Amino acid sequence: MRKTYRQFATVFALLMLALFLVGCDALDAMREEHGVYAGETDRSTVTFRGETYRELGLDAEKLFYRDLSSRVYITEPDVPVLLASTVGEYGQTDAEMNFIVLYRERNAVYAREDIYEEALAETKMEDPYTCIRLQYLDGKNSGRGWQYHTLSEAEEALVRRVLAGVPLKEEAVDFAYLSPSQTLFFESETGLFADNSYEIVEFSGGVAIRDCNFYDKGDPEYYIAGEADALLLKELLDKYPG
Amino acid sequence: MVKKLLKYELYAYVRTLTTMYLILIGISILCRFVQLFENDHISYSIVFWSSVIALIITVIACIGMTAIFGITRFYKNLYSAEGYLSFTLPVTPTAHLIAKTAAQVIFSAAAVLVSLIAAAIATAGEVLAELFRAGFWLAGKYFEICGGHGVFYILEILLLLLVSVIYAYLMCCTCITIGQTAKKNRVLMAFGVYFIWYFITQVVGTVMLILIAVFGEIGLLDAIAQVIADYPKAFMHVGLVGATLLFAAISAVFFFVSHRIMSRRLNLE
Repeated sequence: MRKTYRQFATVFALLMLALFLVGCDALDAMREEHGVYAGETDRSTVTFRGETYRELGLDAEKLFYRDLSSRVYITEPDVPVLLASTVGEYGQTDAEMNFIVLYRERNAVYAREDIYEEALAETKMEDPYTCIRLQYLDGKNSGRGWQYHTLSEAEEALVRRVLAGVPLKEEAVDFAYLSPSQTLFFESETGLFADNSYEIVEFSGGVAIRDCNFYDKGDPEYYIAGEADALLLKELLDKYPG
Repeated sequence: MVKKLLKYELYAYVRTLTTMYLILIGISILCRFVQLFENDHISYSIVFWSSVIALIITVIACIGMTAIFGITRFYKNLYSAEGYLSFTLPVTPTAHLIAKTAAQVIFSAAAVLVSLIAAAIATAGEVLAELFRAGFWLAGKYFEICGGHGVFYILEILLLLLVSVIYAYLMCCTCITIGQTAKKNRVLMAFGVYFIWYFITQVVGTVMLILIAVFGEIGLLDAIAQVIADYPKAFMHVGLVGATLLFAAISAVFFFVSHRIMSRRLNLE
């Protein structure tokens, strides 16, 4: 009987040991959200998913990101992954994992090492917005699944040409009809800077680009497109409906 | 003689509770086995969470059964027909009470230990390793904050837990002992005694709350709060040791009452 118990105990112990070779999806998911500072007091770099991120010295509250969706909890090096969400600092990353943005416990922006120099250069530019994307819904217009169309050179030139005109205030524009708008995202090359305060709108008087930056200007301003440009903008709206 | 009594008490517990502990271990193994098929499908979630709930219920049942068995064994062994045999043994009522209390404390600890083993089996593997890592990290932070006092806090809490188990068990035993002095409906009488005791503790608690409110009105509460803020660690020691002494004192009263009745007013069926 004792021999049977011993054999059973040995098999049981080996089975328990073997379980250490089997992973756990829930733990892996937690590790995917766990970032680590360089040291206990060194916050200059963060290691996240095997990549190194360096601090850019920007105010996170002044920046806007198109799609900050994935979360990350950043802790000191010795903190176990199970406690990361409890004791860690909460941040978010964009879809391409180019940046980590912290805006709760601390206010900081980290850029991935390979795009750090490029992002740092963008912080010194007066106009870092080198790329324009048009936001539209998918073909079924289901209200979900925003898509983005990157404007071609000609389309970008069109938008910048219209914006070069003299803006009009709201009271000067006839709003008998105003279509649902499509948002224009002005972005820097790395995506560090993004501005979505421009919209293309169709109204009874034609087509305009609306600058919705209320905070600086009070009321929205309208850049009315000329006849030829209005037709081109309308084609863009028809192709990518809002 | 207490040792012999204790031995047979422990045998009785082992005979009854071993099956429960084996069931608990079995369910924890099942829970771990289910996790080998981890995937995103809803059917896995249903099965996994069902196994976790079953494990939690079994842990509660295990601990509850240990307590209930201890109390029912006290009653059957001393105040039912078995009592005629128990009280003919060459042992004092003190020995009976000590043996039974000691057995209950040992198996309460065993129930908790088996529950922890079950939890370890259910999380065996990477999760258990991470749990240990998290535990050690928290322990490190705890000792960083509490310093040397940390060790004493742990000892005081363990002592308080031990005395609490003894208090709870002796309270039930005393209710049963007082109940058996009745001519009939002895179990009902025991429940009645329990409710009277519960009522008394509630009245005392309410009086304490009123006193605290009065202290608050006259500003004494602020002075006490200031002392706590100035000496938090000392206050913690005072609180833990004070609670331990209070429970120990009440347990001693229960022990004395039970002993007195068993010695002078035994009223077997």
